[in-house]
Amino acid sequence: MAESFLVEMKNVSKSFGGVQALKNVNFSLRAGEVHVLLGENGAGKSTLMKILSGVHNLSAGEFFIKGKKCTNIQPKEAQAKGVSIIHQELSLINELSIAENIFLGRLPAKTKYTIDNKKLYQDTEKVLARVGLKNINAETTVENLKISQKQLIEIAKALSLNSDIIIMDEPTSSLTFEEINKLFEIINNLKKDGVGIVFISHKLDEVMEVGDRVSILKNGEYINTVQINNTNPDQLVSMMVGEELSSSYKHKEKSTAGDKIQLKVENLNKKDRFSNINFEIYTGEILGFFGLIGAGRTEIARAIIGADKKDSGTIKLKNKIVNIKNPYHALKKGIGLIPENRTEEGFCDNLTIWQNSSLPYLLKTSSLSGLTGLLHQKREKQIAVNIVSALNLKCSSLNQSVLELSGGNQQKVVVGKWLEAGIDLFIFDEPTRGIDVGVKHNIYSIIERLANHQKSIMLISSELTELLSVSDRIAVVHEGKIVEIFPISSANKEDIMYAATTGKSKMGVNN
Amino acid sequence: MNRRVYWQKYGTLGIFILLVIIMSILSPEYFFTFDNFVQILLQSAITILIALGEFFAILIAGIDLSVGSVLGLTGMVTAYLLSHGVNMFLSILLGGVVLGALIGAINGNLVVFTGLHPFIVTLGGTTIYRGITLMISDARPIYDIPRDFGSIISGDFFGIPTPIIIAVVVAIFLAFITRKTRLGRNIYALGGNEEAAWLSGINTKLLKIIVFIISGVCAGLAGVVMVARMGAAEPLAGSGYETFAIASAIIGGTSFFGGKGKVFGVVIGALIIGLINNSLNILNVQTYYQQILMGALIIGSVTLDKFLGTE
Ligand SMILES: Nc1ncnc2c1ncn2[C@@H]1O[C@H](COP(=O)(O)OP(=O)(O)OP(=O)(O)O)[C@@H](O)[C@H]1O
Ligand SMILES: [Mg+2]
Repeated sequence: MAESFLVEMKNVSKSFGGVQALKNVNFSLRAGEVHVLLGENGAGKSTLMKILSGVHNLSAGEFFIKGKKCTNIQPKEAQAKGVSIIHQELSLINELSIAENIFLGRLPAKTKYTIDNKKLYQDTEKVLARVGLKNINAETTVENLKISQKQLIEIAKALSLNSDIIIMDEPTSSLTFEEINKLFEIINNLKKDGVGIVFISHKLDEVMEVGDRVSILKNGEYINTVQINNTNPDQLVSMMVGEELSSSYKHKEKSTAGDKIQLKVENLNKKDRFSNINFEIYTGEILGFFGLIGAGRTEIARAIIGADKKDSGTIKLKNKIVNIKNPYHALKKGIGLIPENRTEEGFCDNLTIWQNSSLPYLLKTSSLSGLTGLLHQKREKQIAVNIVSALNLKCSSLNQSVLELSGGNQQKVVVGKWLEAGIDLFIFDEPTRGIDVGVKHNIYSIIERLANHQKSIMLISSELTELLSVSDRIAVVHEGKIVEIFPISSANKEDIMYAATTGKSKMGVNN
Repeated sequence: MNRRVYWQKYGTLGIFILLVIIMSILSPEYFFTFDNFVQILLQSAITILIALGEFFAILIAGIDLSVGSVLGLTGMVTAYLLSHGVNMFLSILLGGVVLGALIGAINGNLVVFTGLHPFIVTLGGTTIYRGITLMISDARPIYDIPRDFGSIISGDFFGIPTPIIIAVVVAIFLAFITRKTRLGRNIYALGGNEEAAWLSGINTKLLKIIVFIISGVCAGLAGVVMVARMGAAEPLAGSGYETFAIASAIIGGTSFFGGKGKVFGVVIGALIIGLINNSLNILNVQTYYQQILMGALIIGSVTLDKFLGTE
């Protein structure tokens, strides 16, 4: 061995019961490099990194951390060897404060039995500043934070460990572009300090920007490792998918928007959240919603379906005023919200894949607030089968718990369950979070197919390219207000970014 | 199928069968008789009823500490109605079922509208309902209950004691709810992830109230059976029974975190408690040992579950 690696994994295999998640995978990490792991949902990326960080034990093979052979290490030992991991699914404790979460298990001591709170909060503020979270109190309970803030805290936690091997499993999936840039800045500084970083992401532009080397996994097998400089997105996609597929999505030909208004929102207000929200969505139209962290898009969506109370405002469906008191009413009226935070809001982990899939359908077709009606196993399983084929869901059985699926496949269940519920207005909140390129395109074409069938879509997304390629119009939200609604014909990245960051329209007209 | 699946499916039943085998060897002449089995079922009927209600409360990641007090209050009111010449079935309906449902609705509404944990709400409820029982009865038992009532509710049909029939019918009905109805699925979903259930369109507030109503009605029925069996309504009847109810649900494999558990398991859990009490009586073990053993059993079965039930 001429070169010394921070990490070397050789012929690593892992199976869960009957499922072979990894087969003879090789992987190495150098000091000061960003090594990207790429692969479709369920390819085994997270599993490989969970082995390195001691969460899972491997079934066969061996791996070395800084030249020392490790067999079946525990997470604590991995941490002691300098490995820290930011998990794909957030793992903060909601009831504890930010500071306690970051320094859990290593709170600074004042005496033998008491905590040095002053030092704790000072140290916390320092790491929070590193990830750009400045105006936030270290004593805040995590429960009250937005998903992107939680993600930043996970990153801060990993940084505070001063590890020299940092694994980032889809760290950017719920961050906005400003925060992502900040993260890249942090990554570049870490590289200079000789830290090795494993970076997992489905966003190829990020991969190209931040990576040095990239390894591709497919169905648990190792495909190849290439230098980022010697490759391009299309080549990466074809290695991932195993066939030719363009990395960019083909714009749809023409809008399917009709001339009937499906939803009209008038003067929607909620104190400290959003004010004076006015917009309409036509049948067959895809209305994009763009904005920065905390802009209030999710809150607007939740108020529309009655998940949260609004202070004032009217909602009209097909020109009739409706009073939607809760998500059940919304569902009955044909509105469904696909939430952004899948583990906390998307599925019930005690139910199987098919039981989760059929939930909205069962409620839609029952009465008395969902209290009536029998189950219908055959129909329910059929729904799950349809989702499996429409979204290419990878599972070993429909009776599996959703928790056993890879992150992206969990997301497919969360999106899929609404497709068969007889909905006319779909509110998608970051539907492609953590989804691989192939399936992303799949979801776009499903959204377009829905629009084609004259369904209306409200598409909340922080990926501007995504919105630009599927929306008919794009509403830009800034601090709880709609700044401007761009028809796609006049929408461009610059103007939209300007509106989203400054809250002002370049045209000078407020729409 | 792996160990975890086997344990979850057959664990409780296995413990029950094991206990039966041990006792049959220890005491073949008394224990292993048809009459004794009927006796165990009869003694367990009340536990089964309150445990089934408790099961639903735990299934939504809550708890109902008031089942013992509700049993006492509903029993007292039923006896009061009976002793004042109200028709038997009307007394049962009003004093047991309707009153039980009403108290459940109060518990449920308090949980939903105060946002407090059911532990707090029903802990308060326990002493309130017991206080009301003592108040309306003047802390004295009611004895003058029509003989018909005892002979029907505590009598038998074709040789099977009525309390057993009531418990079995309720268990089958509730098993049907959990396995075959959308209501049942919604309850599991609520127990698994409340926010996801809410966004999927489940009216989680209403559903919580319904769950506490189910628990109240079960305790109410238990109150009626208790009066019939004792031939009187005692103001302190059912005190501390919430322990049996919670123990049955937990021994029966219900997850304390909500979302997991089966009616059948809970019935077996209640039978295990009945079986142990019965066995220790036969073996002439004093009651305080029985209590110690039951406590050990709760901790033991959950410990086993922790080791065998997870990967
Ligand atoms: N705890 C588990 N039990 C059973 N199967 C599992 C478990 N964890 C992972 N798997 C399976 O292992 C395979 C690889 O999963 P993994 O999470 O590593 O995928 P991934 O590449 O990270 O995908 P994604 O991009 O969706 O996050 C999948 O088929 C998944 O279903
Ligand atoms: Mg993953």
